[in-house]
Amino acid sequence: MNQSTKASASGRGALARAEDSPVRGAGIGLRRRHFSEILEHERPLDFLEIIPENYVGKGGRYLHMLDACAERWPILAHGVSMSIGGPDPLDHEYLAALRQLLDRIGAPFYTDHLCFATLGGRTTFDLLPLPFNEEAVRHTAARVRELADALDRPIALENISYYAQMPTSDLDEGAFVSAVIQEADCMLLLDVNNVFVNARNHELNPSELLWQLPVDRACQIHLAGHKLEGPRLLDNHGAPVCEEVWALYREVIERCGPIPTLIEWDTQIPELAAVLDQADLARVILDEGQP
Amino acid sequence: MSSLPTKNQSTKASASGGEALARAEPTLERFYGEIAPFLFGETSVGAVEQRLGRSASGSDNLEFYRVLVRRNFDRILSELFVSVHTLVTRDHPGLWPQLVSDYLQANQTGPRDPNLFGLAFSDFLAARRDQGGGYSPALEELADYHMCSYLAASAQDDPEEGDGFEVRLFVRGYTFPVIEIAKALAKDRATPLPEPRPATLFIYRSLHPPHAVRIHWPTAPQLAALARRQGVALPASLSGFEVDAVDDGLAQLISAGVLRAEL
Repeated sequence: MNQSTKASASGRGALARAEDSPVRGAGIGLRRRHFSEILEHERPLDFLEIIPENYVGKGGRYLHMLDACAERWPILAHGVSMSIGGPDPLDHEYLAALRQLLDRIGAPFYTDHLCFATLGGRTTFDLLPLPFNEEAVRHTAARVRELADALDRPIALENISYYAQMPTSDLDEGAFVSAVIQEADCMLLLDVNNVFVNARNHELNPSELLWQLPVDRACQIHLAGHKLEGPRLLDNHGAPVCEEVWALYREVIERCGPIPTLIEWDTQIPELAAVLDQADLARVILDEGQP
Repeated sequence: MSSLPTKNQSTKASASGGEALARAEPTLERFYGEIAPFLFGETSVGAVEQRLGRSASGSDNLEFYRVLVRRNFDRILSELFVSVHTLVTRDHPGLWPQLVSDYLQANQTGPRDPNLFGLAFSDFLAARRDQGGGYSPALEELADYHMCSYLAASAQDDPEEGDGFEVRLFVRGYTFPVIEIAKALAKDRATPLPEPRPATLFIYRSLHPPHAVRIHWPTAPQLAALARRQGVALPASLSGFEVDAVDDGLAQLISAGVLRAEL
């Protein structure tokens, strides 16, 4: 696929493709904690999402479980290590292996975070905010297009939670995220919990912040819990979704219609039933948003 | 790309005028060059703000990122090397954070898989103990055991790798009963360290479903069979067995899912 075709496929054209994809409804993250019970339950579950870094170049139980799950549910892939706005060149050897995995599970698109994580070959194992400025927009957007080419599928970037605006920033979050999505012609993975956490931590109105983001480009939504730590809310994915986040989510679905929604739970992971309960709540709101 | 509207100067996001000089012609390359040593704890928040300008969110919030990065490395090591973490925090108060910090400085690598950050932790513990670390060699053996277990569990399924030595199958001689220690500490963190009890064992992912990671304490003929399989010279203690006994040892290892039936 050439660059111009890719540009179209990674943007609005891709949004239509995402809507045509088999992914609908409410899903959960596939976590090792649930390996023993995920294939046994009979409750509604519309899709699973994996962290591909846990599977690329791996074998054994991890890969057997993934293959078994892929036979039963659509699988989405949500990376955590691309460092898409970072300074290090994209690792095309890894991207080739990642593409093989995405092909194996039939992932219609690939998502990662609008952040940096690795610097000069050293990784922070964190999702760090980019400086909100034009240079970072151009740098990141070019790398998103490179990523879409390498993976041969549309890309969506997640709006991350951030606790400090980086020095040299001169845009606000909404303008920065919108500019990257537009310049890269890619999609948005809208994390509603991150909107709420950011709004609280930076003394902004959550609803106003939400609609400053390019929500019309959202191909997927993430919902998660957070906790209060000292003076700030910490986006730890370790609790049920709070009422304020559910309200924001309802606002999105009422205005935009159903968007595939994932419950993220990554720390203090409870029994599968508790995570599925959260997915059920999301599904109710999604059903109410049906045209 | 057209020029983007910048933030209103009245918003809390704008930097104070005092940093205007420091922020003259900021570049992304310069940003990354300055932020990296700060995030890895090598320069202060004051130093990075002096060079790049202040964070509109305040120094404490920027400093929090250094806390988060440090916390990530601590969590990775404490979860992967759980029994080492238990022993160090129990028997050597204050040592664990220092180990994490020193290990981070000594291992400036960036694997995508966070667990692989721990690859050199056992050697690091051994070297530090040799320099007067003041802790038991059981710690480095436990670290090696945890690392081997993870590597065996996640190794690629590649028949071309043969038996997968040092990939799926690890042959180890430990002086302490590490399996027993790890299990006991998981149940009761007050369990005392036992006396040394040297043994040779295999840590491996079984070739048979459900491909679980297992431990096997080999018999002498099995060790001889393994050495023959690897094509290494038999040590004197293993060279006196009849061929049939070694063949039986090989068959037992194949039956246990340690070795492949055919290469």
